Amino acid sequence: MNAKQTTRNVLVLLIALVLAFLAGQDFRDMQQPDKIYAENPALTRVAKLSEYNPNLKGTAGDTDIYVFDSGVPGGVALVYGGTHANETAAVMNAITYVENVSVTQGKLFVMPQANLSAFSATLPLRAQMGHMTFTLADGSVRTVRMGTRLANPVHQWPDPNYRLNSSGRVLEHGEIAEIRNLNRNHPGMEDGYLVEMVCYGIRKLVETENVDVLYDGHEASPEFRAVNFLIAHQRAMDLGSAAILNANLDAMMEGDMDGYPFKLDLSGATSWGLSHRALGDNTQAMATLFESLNPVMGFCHEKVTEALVKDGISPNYVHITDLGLLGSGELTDAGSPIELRAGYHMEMSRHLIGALGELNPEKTLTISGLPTFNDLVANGFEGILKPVK
Amino acid sequence: MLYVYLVLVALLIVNIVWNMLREKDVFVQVDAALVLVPLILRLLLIK
Repeated sequence: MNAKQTTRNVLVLLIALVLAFLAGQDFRDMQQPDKIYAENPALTRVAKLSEYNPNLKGTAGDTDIYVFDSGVPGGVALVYGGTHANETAAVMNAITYVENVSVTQGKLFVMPQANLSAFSATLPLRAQMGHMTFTLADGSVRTVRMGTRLANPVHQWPDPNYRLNSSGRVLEHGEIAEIRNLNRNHPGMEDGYLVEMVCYGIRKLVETENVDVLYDGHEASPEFRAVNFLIAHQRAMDLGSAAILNANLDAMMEGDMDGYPFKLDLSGATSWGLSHRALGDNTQAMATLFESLNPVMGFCHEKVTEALVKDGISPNYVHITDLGLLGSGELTDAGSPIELRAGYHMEMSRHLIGALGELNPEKTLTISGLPTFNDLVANGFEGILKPVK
Repeated sequence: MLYVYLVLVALLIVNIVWNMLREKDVFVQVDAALVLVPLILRLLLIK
């Protein structure tokens, strides 16, 4: 090898290393934790999921749990988002709880990033941006991470070709990657794949803290039949019915005679591994899951820009609806803005908590401080979020 | 299993680098350098 060849080899190797370094910066940044406002005076403490499954300690699945304990006996609820880290309205709902809620009876647990690992990556090949920004009244900017549906393969890899998981669901063929999907692996395993261990941590949290009602926030595409549906375990159907009725009565009292587009559905008997089925079957909690409408979840949307995520305006879907090809017909030119979607989650979860005490007075969980639906829609998150120091 | 896969990635990197250094065509070398980028990031568990 002559000197010229050696020089060229060194240069090419350097190019590879420099490119890897530059490309790696963005990915390393995404693995840094998101800053969440935690100065709500009502906040009792920030727990870790590893308190409920010690095998999670030091892993990318050890997510924060915000605990609001009134000290007064009553009901217990768990509200969480980020099961799928790209379903942003559910995350924003949980963040709104963390920043604003106050509890005067009972105990409330809030998890904004249930599948923490999934917040450190974006969907491959979708040209999806990794965060949303909100400029607040004081000029500061809040950045909220937008991740992906599955845990980051950097944290859980490789996916097994076959897995009979704890719910009885067989993950094979097209479902291999679902081993990284939090909502396919409940009730989980104490010592299994990372996501299975996260599921187990949630299960133990529910069992240990005697959670009465759990709310798992999601978002769905316009193609999905269950848009704006509350999906409830059979033991949670009465609770869900009461919550939807009360939410609509509230809306009517505020002058919105159409109410909310909420519907109720029974958790499928074969929805193995999904929270509303597996946690309902394996714990004492009344398990519920709500799906708001987000065009980003589908396959016909435009480029996933911040505007699409925040405004939910998708001419493609409106056109498809106009052609009569889309059953739900819920997505119009007005779009499905993040404040509306998160507002639906907030109203749904708030009324589930309210209905808990109505149906079981000894389980009353009294919360206050959340913005009203109209406030949220009118002021946007720019007027609701608090600056992080 | 993770470590088995990381060893496979490491072997692939060594193989690519070895062939890259023996290659005479600079454009093929640059191609190999680009192929190395995601492999290096995976070996370091960054991406």
